[in-house]
Amino acid sequence: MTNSINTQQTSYFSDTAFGHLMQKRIHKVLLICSGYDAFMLDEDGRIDEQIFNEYVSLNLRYPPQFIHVETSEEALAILEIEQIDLVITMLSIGGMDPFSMAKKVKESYESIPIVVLTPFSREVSVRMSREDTSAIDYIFCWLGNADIMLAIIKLIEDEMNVEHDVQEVGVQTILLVEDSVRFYSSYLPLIYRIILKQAKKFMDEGLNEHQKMMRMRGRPKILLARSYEEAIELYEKYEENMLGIISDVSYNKGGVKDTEAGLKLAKHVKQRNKYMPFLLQSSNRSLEQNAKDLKVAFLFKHSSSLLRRLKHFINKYLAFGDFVFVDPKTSDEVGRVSNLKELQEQLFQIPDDSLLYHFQRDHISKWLNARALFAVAEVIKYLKVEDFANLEATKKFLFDTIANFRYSKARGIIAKFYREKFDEYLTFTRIGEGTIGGKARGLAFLNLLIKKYNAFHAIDNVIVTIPRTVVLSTDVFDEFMEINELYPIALSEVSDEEILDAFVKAKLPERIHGDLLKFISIAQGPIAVRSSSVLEDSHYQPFAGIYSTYMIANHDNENTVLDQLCDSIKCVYASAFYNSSKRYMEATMNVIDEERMGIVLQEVVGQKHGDLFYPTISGVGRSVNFYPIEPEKAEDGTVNVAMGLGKHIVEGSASLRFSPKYPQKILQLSSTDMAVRETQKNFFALDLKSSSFHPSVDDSINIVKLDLKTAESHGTLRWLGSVYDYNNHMIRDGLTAKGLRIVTFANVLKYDAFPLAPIIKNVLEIGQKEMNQPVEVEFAVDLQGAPGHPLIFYLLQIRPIVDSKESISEKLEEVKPEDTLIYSKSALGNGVIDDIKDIIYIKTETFNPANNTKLVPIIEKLNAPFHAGQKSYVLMGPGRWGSQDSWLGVPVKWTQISAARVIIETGLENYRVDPSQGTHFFQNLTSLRVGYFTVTPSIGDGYVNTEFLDALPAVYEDEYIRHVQLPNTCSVKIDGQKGIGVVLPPADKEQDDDDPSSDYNLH
Amino acid sequence: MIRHQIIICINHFIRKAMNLDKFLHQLQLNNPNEPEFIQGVRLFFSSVAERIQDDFRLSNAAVLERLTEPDRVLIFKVPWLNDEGKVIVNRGYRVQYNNALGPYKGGVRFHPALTLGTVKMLAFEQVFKNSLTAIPLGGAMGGANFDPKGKSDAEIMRFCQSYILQLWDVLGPDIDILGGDIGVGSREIGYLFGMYRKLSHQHSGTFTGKSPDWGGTRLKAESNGFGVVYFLKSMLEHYNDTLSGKTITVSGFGNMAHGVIKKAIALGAKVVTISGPDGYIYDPNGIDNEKLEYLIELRATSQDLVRPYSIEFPGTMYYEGKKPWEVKCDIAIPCAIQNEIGEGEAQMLIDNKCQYVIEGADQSCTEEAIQTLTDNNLRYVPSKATNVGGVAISALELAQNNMKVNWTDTEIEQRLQDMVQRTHELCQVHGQEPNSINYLKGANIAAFHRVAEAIIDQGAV
Repeated sequence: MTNSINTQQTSYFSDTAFGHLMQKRIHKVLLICSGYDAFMLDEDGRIDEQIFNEYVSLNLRYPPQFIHVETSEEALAILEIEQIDLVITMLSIGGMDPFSMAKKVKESYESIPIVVLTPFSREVSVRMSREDTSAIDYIFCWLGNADIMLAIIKLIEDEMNVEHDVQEVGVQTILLVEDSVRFYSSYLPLIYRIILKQAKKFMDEGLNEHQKMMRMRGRPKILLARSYEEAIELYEKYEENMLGIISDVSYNKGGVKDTEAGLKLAKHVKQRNKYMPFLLQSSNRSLEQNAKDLKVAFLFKHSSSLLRRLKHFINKYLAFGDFVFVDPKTSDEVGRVSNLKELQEQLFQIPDDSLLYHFQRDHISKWLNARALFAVAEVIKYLKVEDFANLEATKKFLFDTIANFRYSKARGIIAKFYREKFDEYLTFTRIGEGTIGGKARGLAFLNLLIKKYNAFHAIDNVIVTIPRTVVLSTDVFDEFMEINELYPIALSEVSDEEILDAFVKAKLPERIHGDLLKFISIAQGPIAVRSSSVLEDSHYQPFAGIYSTYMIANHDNENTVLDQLCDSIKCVYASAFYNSSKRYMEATMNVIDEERMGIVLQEVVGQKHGDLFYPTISGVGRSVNFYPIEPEKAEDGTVNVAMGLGKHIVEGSASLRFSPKYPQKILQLSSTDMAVRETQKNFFALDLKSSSFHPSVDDSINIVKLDLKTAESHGTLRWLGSVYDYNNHMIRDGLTAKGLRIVTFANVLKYDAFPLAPIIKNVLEIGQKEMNQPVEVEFAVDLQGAPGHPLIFYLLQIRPIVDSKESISEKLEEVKPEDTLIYSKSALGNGVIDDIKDIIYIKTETFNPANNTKLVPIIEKLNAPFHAGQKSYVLMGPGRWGSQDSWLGVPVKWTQISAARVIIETGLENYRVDPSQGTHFFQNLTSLRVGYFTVTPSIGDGYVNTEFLDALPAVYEDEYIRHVQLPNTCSVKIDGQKGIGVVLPPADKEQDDDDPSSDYNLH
Repeated sequence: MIRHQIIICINHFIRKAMNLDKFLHQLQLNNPNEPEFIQGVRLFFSSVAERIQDDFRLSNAAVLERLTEPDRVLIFKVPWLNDEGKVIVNRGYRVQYNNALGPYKGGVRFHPALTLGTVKMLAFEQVFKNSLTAIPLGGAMGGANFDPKGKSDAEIMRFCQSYILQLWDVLGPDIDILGGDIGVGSREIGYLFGMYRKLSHQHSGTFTGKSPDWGGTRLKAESNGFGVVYFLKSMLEHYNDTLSGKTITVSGFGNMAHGVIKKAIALGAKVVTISGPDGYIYDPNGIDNEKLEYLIELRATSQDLVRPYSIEFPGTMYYEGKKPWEVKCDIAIPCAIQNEIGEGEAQMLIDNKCQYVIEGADQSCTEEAIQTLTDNNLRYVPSKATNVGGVAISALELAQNNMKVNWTDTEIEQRLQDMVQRTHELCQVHGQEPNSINYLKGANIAAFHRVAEAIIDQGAV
């Protein structure tokens, strides 16, 4: 018997027909998206590189070619002339919407799969659920990680090839049953990543180059089912070659949502094969017991360690990681092997009962199968212990089989792992492989735009560029987290300080030290260490300001600098796991272990002034202005600038705000009082003394706040300052006059000392065009360089403006005014406010402008408890709120209405004053993002449901004012681009839509 | 603006005769859509009802009718070119209200919601403000529904030039004199004056609020605060008292407070508090000139807070969320916001043995507070009487222009003091009551008296 097996095994081994596997391939992918999206996929994930690598290892001559177009119409034209295998479209495309386009494509090219790749957000989900998605094969959501592209291509290729490959050589499969786009979009890349990593490991098993490539093809395939029926069909078809099943609980069965579909599937599977690894996952924690009863594993979907636990499951039960031999009685580990060689070596040391336990359950064959060691696996799978006289014989047989296999095939080549690779751009290089994160991607994109557009080179004596930048990609982060085993503490609920402490004590991979030292030696001036996370800045995921940014001085002692640089990097890594980050992750429905952190190392822009360092100007530009005042329009954009480091603006301190189209019309400077009160009073600089930096949760540990006198002594104020002439109560530009210094940017904006406005206007226009959506750009300018040298405008960051709080999915122009409480066609602000219950309004029937002054103390009193309780309300009344002239409106000061989140000025039939558009409180409105509506229902301009309000019981009421509380929170929505604002009546019952699995479903 | 006294006056008046009501009703019919104007007239006439009642000449000379019909109202278009090259048209106003006491004199206001009613009301009030300081100036007001917010310098300049182009030939140092108001500061006065000078070929006193380098006066910023203290000084002298050695509490930390403190210190008093929306500062050693300079800086902080003062100057105390009226003092000068002294605060002042409450800011005291103060024999002066420094300094500016001289600070201060003293005397004469002086009544009646007499004297013109 032994002999016959030996013969069989030899012939079997040589027959594994890897060359016949994965024959159907995707060669040409048509990608429809904006220029930025394309760049992002390309640059971030290095999609072509990853795919190229895999293709090379599969020994195919041509990796898939991506054809990128920006509009539906272009796409249709390409389809006519090219043989396209896959269409991937994003939502922000020009021309016809993606859904209509998909239908059109399917009409002519039925077999071409069409995939929609969308940013993930609740708003998008809502939109998707309304669209006709019948022509779409898959929807995926983009979570800022380009692994998704690989996953999409692999999934579709797997689907094409699975039938053939399973029949031909018994390639293994994993079944994923999941109907939530959000979840399968994060699982699939993860599973593929694990599989491909595993496949790469096979190479270390001592196979030759050619065999390595061949073996890659034998990796397990993933089958995605989105309904019960689909799952059953796939399971029954590939049962024999299935490594395991991962299933959601609630999905469609018989065309309707079945909240127990997963349980039913598990029952069905377990009846047929009780050892089939099965993982149930649900957003309903109470199902854990049901899973236990069925003897299947369970994962809570909202667990902060979801992905890690999934990885664990895959490695352990789907036989991906090391094979761990356990004592069947105690479940203690009794042995561990990571490759075939080790298995062979340890075979005789493993206790018999353990070996028997794993043997009976097909664990070993599964483990081998998962490694595409089909031949050995096959032999083992069909052997039963009963076939042998005793266990020793079985062991001996196994040993011989493996030895034979290894002897005949192994050559002992260790795969070369290239650990660093630099880009060709001088200003932008990277250390490490893998994704580089949102911020870095934005920078690379900016670098590209600068090269591409002449507009940036057209201004004499001014250079537009990005600062010299090196990016540490996320694999450094992964390695750091893994070798130092930081996840347990990072994911625990300990204090930020403890997390930081553990991170700082951990060691960065040794291999990057050399690269960092090289950067230190090249970098001029201090170095900024910024987070560039995978989730940060990706579409619809505003993470700005959540993670830390450190700056360190760069002085002569390179080793001290290296230490501080390493500490800063660790501090930034740690900040991903601070409590605020965790809370933010929860709030935005992200899973924290999905987060991977890249690091941007950048020269800080600026000049040295003694021990201080800062740029002349820092600023943030937005291509859309949600608070336009005449003659500005929303699309003209808006810019905030400040002297010194950008922290001043990020913190919301008084900066100068202007429209790049009208740089001389600055609201803050329109009156002397405003100019004195509402302009910058201090600024931030980096303290260059090396002793000022040490690792801290506070990333501004070595940043100092200075007054304007210091800036004047440095010569910085010369560019930006004006003087308040107290005696004449006027502002005199420049610093020649005597008096209080204020920051007006007059020399730059009024007297063209530097073309700031035109440059920003260009940047915003080009950025928006390339991204097909509004953008936010950070920049810095150093005007104090060496005389005779060109002045430099540095772009520091670009990101799409898609704040979930700011994005309005609905078309507010379609909302009927009668369905609202308040409707305004002239609203300032943008986004959704949904935590308001209180409305304070001035009664129109008793209103008399002569009484306006009397209303002030009452409103102040009503405001106080809101202010103290950090709650907000809607304030509504006739005329210009905050007017100096009490005839024109209630002359309140901001502090007296500070808790108002939405302010509404109404015009009455006999009291119509020119609306103020919030100009009295502009600084407060813009920095606190307060909504400001203007309505005059009497002339059909807007709507107020006074009956509804009057019918509500009053919390406070006097002759003039009424304060009412709604039974539930109402929702305020403002579309800043169209200037429409609505206050919607409260819903009768609060909807429970917290379950992320309830996002859009395809079928 | 309805005060306790006024209410008493109205009641008194209503009992005696109903013809003021009838008069106001007719005024409303004649001036529909001008509620601001009607209200202004009603408030003022009510406050001098007693005086009107006693003077039978008035009705024969139709003084009330003549006082409620401006001499001349100019409404004109102001076309101007914005930075984008588009023509914008605004509406300009100039109400030359009454020049019985001297040339028309009044501010220019640029405000998007400016209406004729508002301009007329302001012009009406200006007539009496000027009258109260006993300076030879009539009353006027002007402006445009122009919003200076968010306009570039160049646009402001073009607007000002166009405005004056429409108006220059009815202006002049002996005809009509313009000054600043909301939306019109030194910058705008500069542009307006520049265009006027070019058109008229005259560098004359047709504007107030000019820069001292080209015809303006010094001490402009301090004049209001100085005026308050001079008024206080005259009042103390009247009661044979002196400022020297007095402890004063001041609220606010703006221009008014600054001027008040500066002059009070100079006259030997000790000012121990300032306040902001966040709370107040108690400086037991008194604010000195160095600390005073710091107030300007403090004002420039966008936070509108006084707290930094206590950090800057050790030994001073900051009281969060409190008002300074709980501090022991001889004199209280509220310079912050309306209604900052209510009944409770008034009681605190009484308990603290405060003797004088001088309003710096408009309507600092509530009606109840005024009642409580006067019931307890505290001497109270309303802002209407004390706020004459601004008007006076304008008059001094014009005087310097006419005389082609440039007075020193001392000369200006002396003249300012004289003018305020005269105002005090007027209030005293017209506000004398059996045991005290009612300064509100005094101020109103004095102002009315001078204008009414001039009208009667000069015949039916």
